[in-house]
Amino acid sequence: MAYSFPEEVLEYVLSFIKSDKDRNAVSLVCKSWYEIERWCRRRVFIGNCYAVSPMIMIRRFPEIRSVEIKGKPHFADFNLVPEGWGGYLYPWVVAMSRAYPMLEEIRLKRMVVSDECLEMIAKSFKNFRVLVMSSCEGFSTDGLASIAANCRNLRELDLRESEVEDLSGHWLSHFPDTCTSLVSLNIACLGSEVCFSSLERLVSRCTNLRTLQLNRTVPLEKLPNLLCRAPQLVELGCKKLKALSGFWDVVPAYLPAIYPVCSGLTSLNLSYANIQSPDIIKLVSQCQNLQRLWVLDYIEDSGLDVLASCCKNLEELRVFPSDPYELEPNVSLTEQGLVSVSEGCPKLQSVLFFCRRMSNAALFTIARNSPNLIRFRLCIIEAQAPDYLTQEPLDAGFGAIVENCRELRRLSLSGFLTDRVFEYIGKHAKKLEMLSIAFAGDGDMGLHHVLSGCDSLRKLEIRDSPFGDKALLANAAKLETMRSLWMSSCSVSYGACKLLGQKLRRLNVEVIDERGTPESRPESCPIEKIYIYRTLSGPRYDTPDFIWTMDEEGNTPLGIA
Amino acid sequence: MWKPSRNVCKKIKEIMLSVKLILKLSSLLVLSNNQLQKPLLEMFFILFSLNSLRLEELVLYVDYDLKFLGAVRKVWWPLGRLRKKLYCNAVCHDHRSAARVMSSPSTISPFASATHLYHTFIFSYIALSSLNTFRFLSSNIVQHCTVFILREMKSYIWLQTTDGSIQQVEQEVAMFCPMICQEVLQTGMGSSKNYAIKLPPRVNPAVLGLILEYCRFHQLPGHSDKELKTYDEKFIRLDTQGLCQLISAADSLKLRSLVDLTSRALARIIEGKTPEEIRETFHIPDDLTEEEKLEPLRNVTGDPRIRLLNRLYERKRKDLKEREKIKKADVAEELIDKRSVDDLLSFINGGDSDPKRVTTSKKKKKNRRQNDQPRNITSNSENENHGKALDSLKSESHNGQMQDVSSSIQASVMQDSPSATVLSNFDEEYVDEEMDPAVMEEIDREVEDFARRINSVWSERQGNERRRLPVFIHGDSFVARYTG
Repeated sequence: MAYSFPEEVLEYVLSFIKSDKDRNAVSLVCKSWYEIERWCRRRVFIGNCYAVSPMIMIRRFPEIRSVEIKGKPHFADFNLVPEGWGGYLYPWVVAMSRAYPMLEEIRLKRMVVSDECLEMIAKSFKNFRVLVMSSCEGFSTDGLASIAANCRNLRELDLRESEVEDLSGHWLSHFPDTCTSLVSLNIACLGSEVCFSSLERLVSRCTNLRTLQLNRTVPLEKLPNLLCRAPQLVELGCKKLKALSGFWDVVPAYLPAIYPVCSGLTSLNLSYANIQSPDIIKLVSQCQNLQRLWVLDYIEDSGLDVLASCCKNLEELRVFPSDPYELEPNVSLTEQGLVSVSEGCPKLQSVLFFCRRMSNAALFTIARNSPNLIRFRLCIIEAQAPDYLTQEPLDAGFGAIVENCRELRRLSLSGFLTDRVFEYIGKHAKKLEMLSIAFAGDGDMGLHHVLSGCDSLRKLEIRDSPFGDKALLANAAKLETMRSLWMSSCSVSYGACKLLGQKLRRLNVEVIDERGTPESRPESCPIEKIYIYRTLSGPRYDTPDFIWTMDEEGNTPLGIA
Repeated sequence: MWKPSRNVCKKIKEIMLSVKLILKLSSLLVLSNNQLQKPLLEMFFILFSLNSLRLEELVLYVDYDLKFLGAVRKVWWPLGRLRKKLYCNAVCHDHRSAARVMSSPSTISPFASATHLYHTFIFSYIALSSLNTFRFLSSNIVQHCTVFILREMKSYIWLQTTDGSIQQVEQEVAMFCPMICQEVLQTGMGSSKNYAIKLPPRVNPAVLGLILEYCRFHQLPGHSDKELKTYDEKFIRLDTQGLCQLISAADSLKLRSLVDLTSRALARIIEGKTPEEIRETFHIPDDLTEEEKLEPLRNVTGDPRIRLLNRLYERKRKDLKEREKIKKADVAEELIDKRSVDDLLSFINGGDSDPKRVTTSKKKKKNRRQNDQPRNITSNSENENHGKALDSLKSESHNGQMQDVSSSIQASVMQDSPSATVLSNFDEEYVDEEMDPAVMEEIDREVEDFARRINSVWSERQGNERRRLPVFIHGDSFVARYTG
């Protein structure tokens, strides 16, 4: 029997559909759904600030309340993206300040945010609530001061991992006395001392404050004072505390102080804590409900063993190196620690693990023990290190990971790898969305396997691997289905880039070469870096002079003039 | 004369039974709001007056109009033996206002000042929650009070669906739907078969049954959250078609809680599906063209530069479509052939495939250019004029007079240029269907040239600005572009 979907209630139905992917699918059902969806979309996520222009966004979604924008490629975290690359927030704020006076949330990642931007944000959006800047740069505490002074309803200010020019610690005092709405404040990345009395007053009047992440200049002995001012935080500390982080200069003697709250902890971040294995072990063994642990390699294999036996609900583990530049291992952390965690923690989903040696056998075991892995990022500190037992490449080990972990969405490779591993990845990693490759492969076949095999691949980043034109050109159409491709120090020639620019008009093909215009070299000469991304708004207008966008004639715009 | 329905008769019988028990009552207090059906009240009084021979006092708190009270009085003649008769027209919509009425001295004084206290029968059809009122009454005012509460005395609302069928529904169930409640309160409809409430067309009899079932459960107080949750979960187990009809009906009855419940169920169906699958699930025809799925760079601000790019973009998309067609054909071929990847690579790289096709088309273009040489020279010089004109355009456009300037530019270009047709086309979005393909191609090329020229001038300017103002490049050009 024929019936139709009642469109008059679609808006209600859509209010229960939150994920961007589902909203996108809805908008492509038919014309009327497209229209209804675009008018009731309140949240938009832009994975690449050059993939659309602010005008396109505003025209398509006139009633946005919350915006999340990402700027620079992920490899910027590894200093591979040159200074001045772009990713400016300014045009977005200018456009949004006119179009979205009711905007409430801005979440940014790897964007360049000027003080002027922050000032405009502070003054344009009357009901502004949430500002999250993750790994952003270009602003100072002056900008933060104008946010503090003008955003009356601010609930969340989070500067996680941003580079802030620290002009003064007094910006906190710009929060007016009427500001009581803060729920979350993260200023852990600031370098200079904050004005403690302002902080104290702020904390005591914001009765809803739940998360407070301070920088290391707030001395430990003053913390009790602060906590006294904020009974709700103390209460959290006693009973409901869920996440604990910080511990800048924590002295082992202080640790027993947090033992009482440990059993309630679900998230523990010790990635800045200089405490040694025995103390970590004591701490971790108290935290039986832990779901997420970030820790330095001081935890050592013995600590990971304890973790595996105590924390049965562990979902995410990140182990960072305490001294990555030291050639000789300074702690006894090996693949065995990760193996025992995979054995002991059946709910393990996400792993980021820095270590100094790895074996295929260990990877086999991990793959067998943790079939539910969604993110697996393994970083063996020494580049191209083979299986330390057999001196074989780690192909088979990573192959086992992609074969057994069917839900794997993010994978970072390291160690000695040949094209064979990419064959496995292309064959098995059907849900893989992001892949990071460094110092791996033998030649074009490797990249070809990945591009032709991984159906869900959205982001691919490659450095220092011998992949070149053949694989790229053969799978050019695949690039249009992906968000972005980054290749640096690979074997892609300038000629191939030109060709890609001609063939794929929905992509921006940007050659990044700090040696000067690639026109001055033969076309077959490999370029330094290439960043290719899907876009609706055409070539960007703010390219610095070391970036050349390949247009449809295979020329750069400057080349014509 | 009003003829009671079977249900009402049954009700009256019940009342009679209780009345028999209270034949010795000497005083009656009636509290009622308009939820009590008038005919039923009349009938009750008739029966009561015949049976309660010892009644000496009647206190009536109702919110009917006086006219109705008059009608009631007519049938009260047997009550003539009442020593005190008291009519009180108080509007009690809920138990709180009833309590207020009862507690105000003027209304209760006749009652309270009575020298002898009577047994009192309180007949209430206020809300069920009015128990508090009676507690108040019994403790403060009436010392010897026999309280009878006839709970759940059913009354009915008549509803009519679009197919003409009429049914009667328990009042409290029907009134759970805000739309029906509103209708009853505002228009007084629904009290009899002849005045049935006409339901919106989206409510068919089958769905109405379902909705009433939902209301019947939810109007009852006292369910725990868990009970409600399990009921809802069971209730919503319907196929997609059922859900669609249900949500539509619930929406027209303004039953928001049910709309939400159904919305959530539909959202769960939609989640994780591709557009194609959603269309299949709900039988929605796909009326989006491929072009629409590719967000176009549509002109918003009147910036001539964007207009040009639009035009180009449109053409690009057409190209792309053709290419895709070819590509699809290629894919079909590839599926059949079993060459190794290396072979394919060399085929793609060196053979007669895409890249080569690009170069051949380039060659063709070159040839054509050579043929058109004499014309090209003139158009080139004209293009330079355009460039200058555009320069002035841009400097003016920085002053924010984009619209005026662009039209004046068009005018000036039209005067001295054979490519005027091109420019006049910019305003209309894409009008090239009826044009001669050869002319079109030429126009396209000119447009392209033009665009590139503007582009280069633009980027030059940008470059300058960048050098001057390292921080504000973005901002400046942006403001200029979108303030117009």
